[in-house]
Amino acid sequence: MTELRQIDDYVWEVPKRGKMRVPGRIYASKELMRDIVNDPCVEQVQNVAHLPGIVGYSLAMPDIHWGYGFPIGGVAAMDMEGGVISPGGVGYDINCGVRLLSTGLKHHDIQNEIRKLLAQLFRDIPTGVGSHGAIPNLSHKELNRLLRKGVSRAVEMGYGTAEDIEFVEERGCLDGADPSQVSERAKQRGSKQIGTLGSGNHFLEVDYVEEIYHEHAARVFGLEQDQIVVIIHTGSRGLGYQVCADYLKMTQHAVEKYGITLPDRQLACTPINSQEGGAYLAAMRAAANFAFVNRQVIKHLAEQALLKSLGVSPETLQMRLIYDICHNIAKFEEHTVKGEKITVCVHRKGATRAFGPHHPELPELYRSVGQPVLVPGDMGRYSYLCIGTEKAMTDTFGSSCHGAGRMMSRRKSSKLSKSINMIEELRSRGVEIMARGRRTIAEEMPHAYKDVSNVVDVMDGAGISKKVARFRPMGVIKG
Amino acid sequence: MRALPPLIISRPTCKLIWEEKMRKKCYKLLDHTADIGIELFADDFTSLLENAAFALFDIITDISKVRPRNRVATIILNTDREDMMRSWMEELLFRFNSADYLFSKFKVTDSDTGYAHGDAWGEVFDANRHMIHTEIKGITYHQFEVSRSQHGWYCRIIFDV
Repeated sequence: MTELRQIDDYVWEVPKRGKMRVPGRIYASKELMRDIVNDPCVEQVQNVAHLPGIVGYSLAMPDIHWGYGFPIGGVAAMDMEGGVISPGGVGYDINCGVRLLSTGLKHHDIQNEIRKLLAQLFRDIPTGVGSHGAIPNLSHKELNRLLRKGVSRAVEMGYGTAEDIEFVEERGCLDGADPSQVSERAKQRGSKQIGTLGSGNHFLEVDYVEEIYHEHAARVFGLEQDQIVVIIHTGSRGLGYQVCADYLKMTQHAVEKYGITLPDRQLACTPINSQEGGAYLAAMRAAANFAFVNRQVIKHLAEQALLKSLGVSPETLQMRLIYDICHNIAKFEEHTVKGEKITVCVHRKGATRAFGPHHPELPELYRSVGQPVLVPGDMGRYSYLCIGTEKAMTDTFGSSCHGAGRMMSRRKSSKLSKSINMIEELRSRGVEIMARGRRTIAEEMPHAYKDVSNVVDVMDGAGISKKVARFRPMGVIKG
Repeated sequence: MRALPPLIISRPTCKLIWEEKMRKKCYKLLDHTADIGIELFADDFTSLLENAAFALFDIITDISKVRPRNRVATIILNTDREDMMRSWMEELLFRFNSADYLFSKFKVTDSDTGYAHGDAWGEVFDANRHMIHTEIKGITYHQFEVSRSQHGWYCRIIFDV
């Protein structure tokens, strides 16, 4: 068992030893730590600390669990000169992320309509195998444009409005995306998946604001008690997966070429400044833009579905994008390291950017309070909206947690679910569900996940991201 | 009580049912927090490839409902055994993920000229007949192993879900 040193109530250090270049730091409460130490993710935090060019700490958020190479919930910043970029440090689902939409409706407005509403959403938003993307006959040229320009191109095509752009991380487009670095195979997989939700832990949820913790921030974001919100969780679908697979293969060779010694082959990486590093970054950015577009199109479809189902006008619905964040990404960002402002490449795999107040990258409207941090929980409990802080900037490279984190395998969850009526169990919690397959529901039941409130409380207690509001689900659709 | 008519199963169907039963015995599921894995065994390497493909689609769907209507042929370059397994599985997964193809029958034949032939029979996903249990998106490198011992061939794969 790896030795851990408790720094304070919420921070545990993995001491630097052997060939680790930096120590590790895990954010967790004592209670969460009891499960974390039994998961191989702690060893993965140590392994990440071996990567060339890593600065500060090999970080892990309280929703940490076992991943491929990097743990899920891992954050690692690399020096631009001698550091490496690792596709495993981003994840297969490049720019898997979350989008939060507000509406002008309240809980009582849709309480008796939720099943009808869900049925419309389920009909109109493609989910699962066999479903096809919302943009028919998408040409190769148009797909490349979307990969290059992201959300702004989707808006030009009629999905959403120009006002949306400002409220998407990176304004919905990572600069430096190059579609020519995305393989034909990846484009084939992705071309018919724009505007599709996917399956597994992806979802679209209709929630209401159950509790407000930070009145001022909630007002800035336009949120109030009982307000109906929509949460979308999905990513770059088959295109992103294929990009990751293609470049994992490439980096396996790059490790040998550049003489990089790794404790785990899944940490395969390449120098940021290498030709391979440049190619991966360009492809990753294109895949990230695809994911931004995907969520933009789903927003449009969701809005149309709500208007149709509820028979209200757009002026009554008042659907507005609060924010859209990535939680699987690698980005060049400026951070202060040992008192000096430097540019580093921050890998966030199952971790969310959490920039503090006054950061110039934030929408002007939000600069006084900090960046919205969207943390979805499991489908039976709740999700959270938090804000980034100055402490996040100094301690975690402006990063926070991303979700509940699984604590049970899919098989175990499915077995446990056999003994209960899942639909009734969720209904007893006030949640209606529509999904393509029973197994998806069985694998995604609340018992498979940590309680997200425990995760969010750690980040709040540690001063990394402060709670703003809690949302309670009323209905969810899944692939 | 009226006697039931004798149950007659044709010989080709008997063979398919037997093959399916045999293949199901050749793999077991592995627990993983977020995804799913398999380990499997075979007497020879071509059977290992066939068993792996079967396991993949047995996890994805009810494989007994997939009609082996159309053949998809693949060339598997004869590199090292791990690469061959990976290429074969990735090709099948690509067909599933990009064209909604499901497969239920597999045949791999070795060749002396630097590559193997992999054939897979199946059909396009039909929502009226097929149920997707688990949408597998990719093959990870995590604990990926293809090895040989005195008992035969062994493989372990963790799939990304």
